[in-house]
Amino acid sequence: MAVSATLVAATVIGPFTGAFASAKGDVVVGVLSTYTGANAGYGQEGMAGCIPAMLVINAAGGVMGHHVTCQEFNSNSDPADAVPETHRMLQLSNLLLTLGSGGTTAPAIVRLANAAKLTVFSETGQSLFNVNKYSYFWRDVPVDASQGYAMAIATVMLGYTHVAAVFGQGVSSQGSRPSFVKGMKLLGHPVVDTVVLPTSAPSYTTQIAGIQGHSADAVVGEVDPASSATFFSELKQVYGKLPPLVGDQAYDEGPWLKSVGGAVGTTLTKRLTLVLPVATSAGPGFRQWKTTLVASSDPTGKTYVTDSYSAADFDAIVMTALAADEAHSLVSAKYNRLIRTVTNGVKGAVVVHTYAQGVAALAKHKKIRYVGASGPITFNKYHNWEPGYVLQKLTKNGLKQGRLVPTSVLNKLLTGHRAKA
Amino acid sequence: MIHVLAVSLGSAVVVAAVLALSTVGFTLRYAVSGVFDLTYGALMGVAMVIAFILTEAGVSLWVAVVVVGLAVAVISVMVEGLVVRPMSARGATSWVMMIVTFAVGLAIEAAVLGFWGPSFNSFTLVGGTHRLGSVEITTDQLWTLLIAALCTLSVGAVLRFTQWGRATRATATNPRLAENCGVRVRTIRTVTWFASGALCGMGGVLVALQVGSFTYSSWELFFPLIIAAAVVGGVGRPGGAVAGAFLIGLVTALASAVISSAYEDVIALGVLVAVLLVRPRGLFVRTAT
Amino acid sequence: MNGQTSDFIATGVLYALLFVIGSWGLNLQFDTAGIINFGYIMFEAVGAYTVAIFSLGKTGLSQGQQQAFVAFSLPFPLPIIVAVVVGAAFSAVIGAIVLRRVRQDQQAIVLLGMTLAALYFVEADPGFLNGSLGLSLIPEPFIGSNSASPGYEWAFVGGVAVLTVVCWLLVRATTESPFGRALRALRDNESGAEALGYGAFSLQLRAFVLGGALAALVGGIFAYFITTWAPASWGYAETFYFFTVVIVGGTSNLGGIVIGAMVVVGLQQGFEYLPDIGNSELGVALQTICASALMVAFLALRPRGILPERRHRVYEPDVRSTSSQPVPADPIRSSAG
Repeated sequence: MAVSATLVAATVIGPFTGAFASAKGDVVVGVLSTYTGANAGYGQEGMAGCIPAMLVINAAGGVMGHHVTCQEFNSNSDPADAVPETHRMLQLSNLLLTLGSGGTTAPAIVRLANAAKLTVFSETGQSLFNVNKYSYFWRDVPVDASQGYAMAIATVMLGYTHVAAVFGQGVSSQGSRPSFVKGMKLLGHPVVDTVVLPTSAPSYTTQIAGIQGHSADAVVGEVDPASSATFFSELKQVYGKLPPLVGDQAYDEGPWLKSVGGAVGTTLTKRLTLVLPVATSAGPGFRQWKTTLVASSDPTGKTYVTDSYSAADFDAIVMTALAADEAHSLVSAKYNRLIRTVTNGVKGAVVVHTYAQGVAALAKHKKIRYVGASGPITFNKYHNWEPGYVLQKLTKNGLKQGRLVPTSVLNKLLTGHRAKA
Repeated sequence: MIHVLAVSLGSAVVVAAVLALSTVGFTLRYAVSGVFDLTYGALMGVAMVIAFILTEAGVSLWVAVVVVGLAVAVISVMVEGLVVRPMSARGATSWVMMIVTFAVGLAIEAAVLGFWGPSFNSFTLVGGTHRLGSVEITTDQLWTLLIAALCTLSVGAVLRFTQWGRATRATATNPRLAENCGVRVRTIRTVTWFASGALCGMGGVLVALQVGSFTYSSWELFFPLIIAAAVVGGVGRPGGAVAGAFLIGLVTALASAVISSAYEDVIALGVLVAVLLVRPRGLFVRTAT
Repeated sequence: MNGQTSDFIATGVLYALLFVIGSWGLNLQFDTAGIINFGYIMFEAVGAYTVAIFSLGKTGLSQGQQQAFVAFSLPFPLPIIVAVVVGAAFSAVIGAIVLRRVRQDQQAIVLLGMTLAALYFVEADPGFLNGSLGLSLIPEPFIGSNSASPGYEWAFVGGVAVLTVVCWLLVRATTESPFGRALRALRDNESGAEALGYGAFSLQLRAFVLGGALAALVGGIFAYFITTWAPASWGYAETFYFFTVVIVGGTSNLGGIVIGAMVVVGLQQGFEYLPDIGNSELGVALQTICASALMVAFLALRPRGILPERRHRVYEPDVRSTSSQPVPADPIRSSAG
């Protein structure tokens, strides 16, 4: 579906990140994320999902006729700061949903948003939410722990059997490391070296020399963007060229690619294999999101065109808007449970890939299933998504899909059984 | 183990050199003004951004280093004149100054965020490596070592051999007495903060170069190392600053190889605490002073 | 969602009250005993983590897939009491080491270094206190669950307001007591005070422990309120805000500190309401710049604070004291540095 003239007009007229004058009758998406400090890029990541969503929804007539606008709230990655910010956000009476809520701030924010009966999409990967009682909580990003297992399977599929596990001290690395190491062991190829990098150290050559000493044939793991820049540029220097690398969703995020790509150069994309939730980069939903983002006047938009978290945020807003449309209500308490319906789909549902298609189908009183930028999502009873995974490579034109990670093997690892990849 | 140390030696020396350069600048401020200047780190952040803008505009990296040094030198003089001097005149003690400079540093960092944004940026490296035995070092690292060595040696030479240096040392030891002896303390302070600012600016760019990519807040995790090196070496003594920097740099590299590397930064701070508990004046201070 | 505005205000009031109690604790350490504790936030963290591990228990840990080196499940108010005790014990140990071995002007840096080392250590070892993620799902006082029951914000404010009054009485009693007078004598003239027989070390240690206990209390309450406590919440910069409150409000002046806390919290929250300008970072940046500029202005214009130190009355014959005149007002600040 080509970008319509209305959409283009909206992108030209609409202001960029941050200041959206909320006209009377607008509904607001509260992007409650980090806009300052070491994680400051993640606020913009959320905006890279919100702005395209706003544009496509408004181009199709809005939600129940109301325009959507994005408003940011800064948690500064600190739960203590997140609490007053959440209350400040919740004062708005026209909130459609809130997204962001990463890492350590998620438990504090989700709790409050849920009590206030507001739909909250969190992008934390903590296992804390694997079993939960928050009916307003939704997660359309995978759990860090399962990403660890998926990376292990992918590593073995790629033929690397003596790998070095390199992880940072950040919140999501903390989640994926134990399962990666355990997964490699269950697959019969225990890691030869486990390295935890202290955050933002000036140099990591000691650790790298250790990896070299263990004759690792690949480096797999998850490290934050700042430390990654130092680590991978020194890795390249010590080894002469970058060894094969495997990473998870964290390594296709805007800030990470900018940081490491800038430090290491174009060789990064050749050596790095990503393990991402399936269908991240294929399909009309993804294309619409990416095209809208690139065409929008968001100056940082291009940094996030491979960023599956931004794509997931985009989907979160669209599916919530569609749920609101189906419920004929702007009250979260009325449309929240329909999010599952429009995403998991029901028997006989029409598959739609864009908001406009969804609205059109709903107008004809059809049931819909929204398959958007993240591909088909199925929420389980705890409103979490357990995606399949696929190996992907970065190319000049974006992500390129490779082999699927076998779900049967993944399930075996998740339950602690040995398996062969 | 020897192999590990040999491989990491090149980088460890470079990091120590950059740390030494930065610490000398930091400690000079304490020496002449008695202030633990917490704007120092934020100014390194400013340096990184200015240098990036210059290099993107086509200026050579090493020329940018010098230009940035001058820019930060000027800003430092402004900080000294507009913030430190008036507060000292009101009788603010050194720790109150720490809090004031902390607040000013916050504002400076926020200004960089507002102006530049939170994105990651990197310098384009010249490339090229050289080997000495099993120690590898890049061309950029060699330049870094050269600049750091030149600057710290120059500072040392000026302090030791010139009249100006003597006046500065006198101011550091006892400003009132120096004033009475005819030293123009105010001028000394201005010039010292200027020089310190130059070291700060250059150090900032060199740190960014070493770590690969930087944001407006990257300096935050390097700054505690500067404070540690300054204190370990005996705060206010440039020679001690260099020694402290090498000590912190090499001890953490060694500890990292022997104990788990995840605790590297714990060890660096641990050295600071241990030294202060055992030898409060710092390790390299002659007790006669 | 109108109740949310009231909750927002309640949160602000609560944070201000906690700042007040924390600043009184810092004031005890700094002004009454002359110890510049740039690591104050670490003591707050001790209290918060203690509340977490004493109320989560093994079930709470496994429910959230979290790790801690130890965990118990005690009902409120036991965890917070334990937190204060642990905070006091921790302060006793740290204080003994620092006071014995470190000169006064080095104390600040040592304590700052310890805080940083502790922070890095917690982040490096996920098995200790759950690393960077921190500990979550802390159950609310009395209710026992974690689900943000309506009105709990104001209940907190009520409870903490009472607690604040109690702390006021406690701190005032301390500063007015012979103990307090001895400490001020020590601060103003150490050798003179020692000549009069006041043991410097034990006096300072007691003030330090009391201040640390208050810090732990504040941390514990934060943990109960936010229900999460992570390294992100106790960066070394937080201590400087406490110091700002103490300076702006007037060191030694308990009432001034209350005003100082309102000023600082007001600065932190107030600028959120500046209209959004241009891109998002610019807005946040302007907030920080304005808040910092005001902080510096306060520090510059009133290095002695808003309300000056109260004159302390000496009103009963003390065997050791040879004078019945009121103690002179606080001299030049410089001598305390």
